[in-house]
Amino acid sequence: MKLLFSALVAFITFQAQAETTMWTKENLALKGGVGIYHGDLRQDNSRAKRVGASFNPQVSYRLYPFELVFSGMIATGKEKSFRFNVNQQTLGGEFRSHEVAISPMARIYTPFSIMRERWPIYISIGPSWSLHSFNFKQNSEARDKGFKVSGDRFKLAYDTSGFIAAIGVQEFTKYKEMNPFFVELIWIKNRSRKMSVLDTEKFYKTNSVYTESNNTLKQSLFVLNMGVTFF
Amino acid sequence: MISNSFKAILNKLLTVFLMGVICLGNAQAQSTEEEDLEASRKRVPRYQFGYNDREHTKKETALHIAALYGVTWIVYPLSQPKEFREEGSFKDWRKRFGRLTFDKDEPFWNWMIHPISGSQLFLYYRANGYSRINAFTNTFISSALFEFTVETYTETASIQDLFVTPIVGSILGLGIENFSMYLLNTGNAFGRFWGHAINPATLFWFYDGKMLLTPQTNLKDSGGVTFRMEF
Repeated sequence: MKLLFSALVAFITFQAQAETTMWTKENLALKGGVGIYHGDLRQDNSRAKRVGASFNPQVSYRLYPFELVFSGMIATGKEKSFRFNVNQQTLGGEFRSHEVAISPMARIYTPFSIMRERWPIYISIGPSWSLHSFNFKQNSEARDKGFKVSGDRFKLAYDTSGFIAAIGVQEFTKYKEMNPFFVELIWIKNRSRKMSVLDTEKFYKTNSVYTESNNTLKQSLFVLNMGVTFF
Repeated sequence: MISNSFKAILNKLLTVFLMGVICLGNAQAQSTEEEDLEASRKRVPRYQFGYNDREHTKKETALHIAALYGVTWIVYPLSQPKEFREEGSFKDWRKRFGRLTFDKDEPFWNWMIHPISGSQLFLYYRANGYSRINAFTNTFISSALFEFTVETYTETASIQDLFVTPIVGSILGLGIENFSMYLLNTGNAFGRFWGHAINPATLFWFYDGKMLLTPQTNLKDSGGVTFRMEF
């Protein structure tokens, strides 16, 4: 991940100074879309359906028919009836989930298209890293079970890793300033690596009260994402 | 006889047609006069606001990035004096330098404050004549510099912040840019006030008006910046 970000920062810095024909800023684009997602969350015997909305910004560099995409997803949803296993105990109740995912992807535009070749079909694939957080309010369960939280507000945060794949179509336009539209179906599958119990009683500062290695939480999500190239 | 009556009918039809044409002409003239009157009743803005994209030398770009970097070293401790004093140290800075993590802050900070900061960086570069894509790349560099070297004084660099600040910030900045230009070009005081308020970079000497920034701190637990703007 560190290497990835270092490469991205170096690339963008190089781009900022680029003047050659091949490495032109015309190929660099900022895109964004909004989506709805549906999927499931599993841990041992607990299982819950996940439904919500997401915002999916992307930075891409196009070397036709390939495209390097640095994609993100900011998602939010509301769930209940799921119990998390933490330190051989269970915590549950109604919670709001937030997720932020970062995914570098390789994209290829296939020779296939729809609408008289105006909409080329593309496929993308890459690794994905994310942070899932589940915010509980007015819930004394964590405190009752011995976690050192100061009030009734806490959250569980899971660092996860996995992969992302997408298939979509993007409108073909002569210039990116014409704001080409795209629509894609994204599949994200990931598994937790680490989890923390966080005290969120103080709004401006969260404190970690418990951390453990954890690979039991699994998630699979389908996201229908629609957006445009901004510039 | 037939020929005479046909001529009479033809004359009458011609008369009716000519009268119709004259009436229509009058009506059109009347409508143009009304439109002119409508147009004259609209407020004519004294100034036309917009951005003039231009080329910059590498030295000029380096100076802008360096200036903003210097400002962040002043603003960051002023905005969080307690955290800066209690949790910051150059010894820890060396340990944290180059490390990356998903921060566990509340969504308000990651999804509201950081995009707003990024949008203002984007608008700063736009007000200095950078094209949208150049403003984005410079925002990315400024944000990465802050995250890897300034914020590292108190906490490890955050993956979400590195992504959200420049990318979501630039998308938000684009929206603010369009809305502020609309407001500024309305020509009325309300529009100009809010147009400058949401896009303060338009108040600096390099763009339009006059603004005075006064940093304030008691060197203990409070700090801030007072700004005065003149319309």
